[in-house]
Amino acid sequence: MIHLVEIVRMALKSLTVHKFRSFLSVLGIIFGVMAVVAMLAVGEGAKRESMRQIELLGTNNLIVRALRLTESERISAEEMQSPGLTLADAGAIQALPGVKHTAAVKELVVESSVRLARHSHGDGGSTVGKPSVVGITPHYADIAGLGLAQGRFVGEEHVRSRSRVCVLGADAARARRAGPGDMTKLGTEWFIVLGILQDKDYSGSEEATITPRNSNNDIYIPISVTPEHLEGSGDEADELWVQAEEPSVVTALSAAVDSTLGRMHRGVTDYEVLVPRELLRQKQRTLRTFNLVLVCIAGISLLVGGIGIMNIMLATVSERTREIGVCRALGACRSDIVIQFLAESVVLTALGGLVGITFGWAGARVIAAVAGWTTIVSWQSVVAAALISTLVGIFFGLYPARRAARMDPIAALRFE
Amino acid sequence: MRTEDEAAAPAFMLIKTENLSRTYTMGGGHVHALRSVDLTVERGEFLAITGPSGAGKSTLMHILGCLERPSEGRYLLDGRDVSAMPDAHLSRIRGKQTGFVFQAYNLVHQLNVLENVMLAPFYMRDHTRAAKARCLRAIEMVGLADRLLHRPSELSGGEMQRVAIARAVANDPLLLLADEPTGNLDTETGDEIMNIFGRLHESGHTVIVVTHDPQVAQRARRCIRLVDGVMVGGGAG
Repeated sequence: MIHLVEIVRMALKSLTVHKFRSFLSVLGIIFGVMAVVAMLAVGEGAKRESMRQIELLGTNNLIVRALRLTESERISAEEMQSPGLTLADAGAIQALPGVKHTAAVKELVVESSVRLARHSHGDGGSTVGKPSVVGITPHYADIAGLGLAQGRFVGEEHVRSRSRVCVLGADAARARRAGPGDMTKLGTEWFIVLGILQDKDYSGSEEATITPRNSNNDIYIPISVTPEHLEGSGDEADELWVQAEEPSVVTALSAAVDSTLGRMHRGVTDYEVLVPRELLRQKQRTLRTFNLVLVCIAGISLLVGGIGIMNIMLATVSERTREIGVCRALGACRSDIVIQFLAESVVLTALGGLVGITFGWAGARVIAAVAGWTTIVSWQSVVAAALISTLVGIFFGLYPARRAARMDPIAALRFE
Repeated sequence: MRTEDEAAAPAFMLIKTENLSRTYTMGGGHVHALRSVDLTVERGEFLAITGPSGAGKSTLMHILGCLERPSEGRYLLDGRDVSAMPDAHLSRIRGKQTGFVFQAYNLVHQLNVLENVMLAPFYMRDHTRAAKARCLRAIEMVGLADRLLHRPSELSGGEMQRVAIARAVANDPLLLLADEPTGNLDTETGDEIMNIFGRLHESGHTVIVVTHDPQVAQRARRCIRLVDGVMVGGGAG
């Protein structure tokens, strides 16, 4: 152990003789490692971000969305007498095995043409967009993971009796300065506020394929209540949210839901079944490809860096031929010489790796600040970078070190 | 494992060579650097090996110092036949039992005086305090105790050679070998260096000096002469 420490100390001494040369030779490793760490941080950030978004939708859930039909599609749908997405569908899905809860969602005020996506999300509650009034069935809160800050959520009895009650999202409640028990006006009618939802973080979810609706700005009312002035009527629904009992049955359930709805809609595909879990998996597959490309690029840059190390170590070995002879005369055996030069290349690349990791970490911070992406430097990537840079030192240092060890001591001593 | 023959060697005999030959192959031809050298050296001797350049002095010294193996013949060091030992064994013997001093000092320039001397125990994986104490004593013996942290580039030729001597004796070797130790030094400094060898001899070290300088050879108690790889005088101790 002491011997090893001494070897490293000697290696450092030798490397500091030509500080600038050592620095230049390790530059390739520094940049390689830096790129690896920074890019992995970007990849990891993207992965976590998409995971978080999908988790907002619920990994146990699947969502059935009503599709907007083109004119010709609508005509054929009418011919086939497909009723569109209705509460009856929700009932049929609820009857399927493996379903825990089903909820229907109907948007009564549509802010923009893009549904679900691109809701103005409150930056800490400051932006107050026009609130969406959403008709729901009671289990929606459970399925979408909405927590109550105060009061209670819409119950079955409210749906049944078509009560004029509502639950406010955090931003909507702030804007209306309303609490449980207060009356609030939606359009022309007054509703009793049942409860206020917890503030939920939806930040950074604009670029996702499917975004959860921003509940902070929503006002939930029983789906059976249809205020006259608000669009939407009857028992139509925009979305059905289905929660599976087990994460493992989600995929099978989506097929069952699809076939049930197919039967009920007489083969008209005026709906789509989205599985957040599947979306997550797809996203991860894409990320894996992205990471593979990254690994290849990193591999090439480390290869180039390693060749630089090998080059400089070969130069060092021939420069220090006489020193090698002296060490042999002093009793160093071949393996001592191998270890000595290997220690130099490993110390060089390991230090380069450390600098690279630091720069990569800083780079990730800069990317996060400048581009606004989420970047995460995981400890795995740090360990991997350190390990790889050490391995590069061993791999590319081995040939020069062995060349040094194979030298004839006499010839080495005579070397001018 | 000693053979009967080896065991029969008297205890005071440090070096015994039998029919020692070394042949180099160069450009298709053979060069006989040493031919049938029979040399015995007792413990505590001060021996000079002289001869014109190309006579095989250095080759003999390298074989005696276990840096090289003979092509033919046997070499017994301290009663052990080292002529056919594998490289790793020879390295160990070099480290423990021999000490080298070269004409060109051969210090490691990135290490200071103390570190250079401590290279000797370093390769024997001896990192004890005793080893450091030995090194410090050796440096003191050559009179450089006040230069411990100086780099070789900050020393004069004579001082560098003294560091080399300290390094050579740092492991208390059985045999001290010097190859033209005064070759790069002026007469006065060379004398000082030879004085150190004289003192080491007096304190019980076995010293072999290779030189073509008659002045230096005179300091030794015994002198052998090599001409064209053949020993022409003083072989028996």
